[in-house]
Amino acid sequence: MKKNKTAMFGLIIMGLFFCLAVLAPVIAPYSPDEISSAGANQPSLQHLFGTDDLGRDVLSRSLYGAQISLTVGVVAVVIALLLGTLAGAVAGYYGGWVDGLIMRMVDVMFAFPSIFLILAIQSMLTPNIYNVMVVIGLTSWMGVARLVRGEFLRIRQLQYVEAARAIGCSDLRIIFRHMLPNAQGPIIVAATLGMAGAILTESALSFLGMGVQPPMSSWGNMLMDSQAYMRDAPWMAIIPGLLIMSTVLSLYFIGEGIRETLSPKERNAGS
Amino acid sequence: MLEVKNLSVNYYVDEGTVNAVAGVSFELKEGEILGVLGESGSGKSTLGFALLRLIDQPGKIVGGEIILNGRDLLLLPENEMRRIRGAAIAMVFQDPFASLNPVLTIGEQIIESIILHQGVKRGEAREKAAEALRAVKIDPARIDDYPHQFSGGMRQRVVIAMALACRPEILIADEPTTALDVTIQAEILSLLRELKAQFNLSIIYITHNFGIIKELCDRVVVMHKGAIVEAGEPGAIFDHPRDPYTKKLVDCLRELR
Amino acid sequence: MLSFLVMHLAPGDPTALFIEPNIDPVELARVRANWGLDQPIFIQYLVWLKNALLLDFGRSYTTGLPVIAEISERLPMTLLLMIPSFILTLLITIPVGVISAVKKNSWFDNLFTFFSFAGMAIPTFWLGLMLMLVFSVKLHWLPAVGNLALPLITMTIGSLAGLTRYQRGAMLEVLNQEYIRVARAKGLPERLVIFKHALRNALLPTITILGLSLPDLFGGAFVIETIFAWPGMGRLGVQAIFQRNYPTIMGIVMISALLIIVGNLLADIAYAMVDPRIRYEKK
Repeated sequence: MKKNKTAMFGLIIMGLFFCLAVLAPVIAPYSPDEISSAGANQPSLQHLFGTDDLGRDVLSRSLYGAQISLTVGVVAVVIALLLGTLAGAVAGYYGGWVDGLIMRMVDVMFAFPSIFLILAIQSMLTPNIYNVMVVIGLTSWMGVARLVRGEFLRIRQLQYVEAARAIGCSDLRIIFRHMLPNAQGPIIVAATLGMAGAILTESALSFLGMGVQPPMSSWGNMLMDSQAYMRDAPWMAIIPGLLIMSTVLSLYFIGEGIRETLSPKERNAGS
Repeated sequence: MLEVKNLSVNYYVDEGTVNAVAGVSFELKEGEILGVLGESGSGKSTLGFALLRLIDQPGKIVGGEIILNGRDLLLLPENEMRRIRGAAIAMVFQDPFASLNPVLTIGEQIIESIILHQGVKRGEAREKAAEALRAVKIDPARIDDYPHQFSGGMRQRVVIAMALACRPEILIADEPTTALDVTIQAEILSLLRELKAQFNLSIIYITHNFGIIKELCDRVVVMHKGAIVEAGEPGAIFDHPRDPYTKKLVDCLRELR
Repeated sequence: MLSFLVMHLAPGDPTALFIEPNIDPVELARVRANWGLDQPIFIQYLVWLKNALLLDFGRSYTTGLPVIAEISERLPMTLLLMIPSFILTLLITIPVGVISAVKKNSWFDNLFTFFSFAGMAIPTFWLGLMLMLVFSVKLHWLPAVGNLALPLITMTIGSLAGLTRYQRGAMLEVLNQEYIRVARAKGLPERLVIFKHALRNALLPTITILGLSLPDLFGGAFVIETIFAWPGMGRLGVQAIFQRNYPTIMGIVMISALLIIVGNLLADIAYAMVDPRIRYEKK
């Protein structure tokens, strides 16, 4: 099924990232806070990605940063999926005013620039990694909701839903045992895209200072620090960005691969 | 007037090569209605497309000749073939809801064909289009209406008008009534008979419905898995099918009666 | 569509969350009384809502100036960034998307598909940084701040990527439609088939998506303005957030939402103009 080369590629890279993130404490040559050098150094054999302005090893910080980005990505997406699937399923299954109400909420939330919304919320709280994850999740459920609702509307019309009702299944049972499993394809695609989005958003937040706080090293706040040193230590800015980009790109590839596998075959040769 | 010799079309898909049309040969005489009978997958629609060289990736015409009035269509350069399409040979497709471009008026869709093939000005083309609509029993005043404003049966009539606007010699009809209700079906069929007489058309009618073939067609070829397995007059074939596949088809029809 | 509008006038609801800055550690009781913050939340909200509808968002905590004045000062700068970016995006994504679809799997298509994926994956702010690095710091071709070029390029590339893929997808879908085959069967030259028949249909979903991309456009503006020190509404907003300057924040949120709604409305109108199915009542 996974004959899509780019998707495989994406999967491998993501797998790599995950491993690196999990193994960070083990393989990082230095501790992320450790000042192992005097000021910023270019990448060298000792410090593969160089050091930052405080003399910390960029590679190690990146590895720990991977942990953070991936964690935020996963948790935020899970929250968004839970909320969105619930909302979408209820809206799609019951229809009527419930549907209308939920969809209005979705529309309203869609109208706001999410970054700003998140920033605003964060400004009322003390930003840290936990509320970043939650807030991102809380602001990204809408897309999933629309998707799930669409799927449910489609599935609802199919025969086996009628059949299930006819034998007296409760609504809840129908939703969970019958409809959800069939909607899982698009949901998984949405999950990969959502995770990519969450990572991008977290990095933007941390970059602006409203996300993960130092000394925890998120790729985003590493970029924040790098701004003042663009002339003298450009690797500080280049590397975290590349890492973010590769992670997101891999997720996109995986998502696309899954989507292609799911979509109906090309028009058949006619009769 | 149309002679098809040993036509073959292949489709190249991941799973392998499909011989959609395998060495098909037949003749279409002037003024006759030829039926092409077959089930889904028999290659009948592909045959229709092949006659207009409308076969696209992953398909390809791989052999044979299509001789129209002495010329082999398969040897023509593309721009000449384009002149044949719509003007000498026209085609009507199965789904009237999908055959018309939703953002253009029906008039426009007929007119562009006329302007292209007959080189007349817009005003004259408009009149001809109105005539075409009249011929298919649609009020010509509706020439500036959009497809979504018409019912399925009427849309199919518009499509037929579009096809006949340039007075083609041959009309290929690919299951034109399959998507319509039975009553509308009858209307379209009788319309086709009228138009054939009026415009001296030759028609190739592709369908899986033997009943229609019996009613409408002078001759029929039966297709199965890309090849022609039997040919002759519908009545005769129905009474004395020779090929085992045809026998099965006929038996099914008998039972349903 | 009208109900859409009405519903959107209620974005006050989510912003009600912002009204009470509970976690704000700074404000003294005296100052709070000054600003009317000691009244019950409900009253505050109604008062605010009433004023907001009149575009009076109160005064900025930090400067004491009326919020609406500060926003109006900055808004044109933001629009100066956003509107050209939008137009540029339009001008590029439609042709590229169409050509990509028509020449599917050609080198053009593959190249631009690669670019659009890359463009979608790049964090906008990082792109801005990199562009600054290359063009300002290393090459000294363009100034890092004050000049329109870099922020504009950053913003445009950001929106381009996703939209181009979408346009390509829409075009591909249209090209698969039966009426395109019918057009070819009529002997129409390919150019006519693509431009007259396919393109007009492919533009429809694009219009919708353009409308939907507005919130992201605004979001991008916030970040880009901050990086390039562009004196627009976005930068004001980000600063306001750091300063916990709630009236300003609220004002900006509302104005952005308003502009986005207007934008979507325009998109709906444009769609209706192009799609006859919406224009004419069904018989």
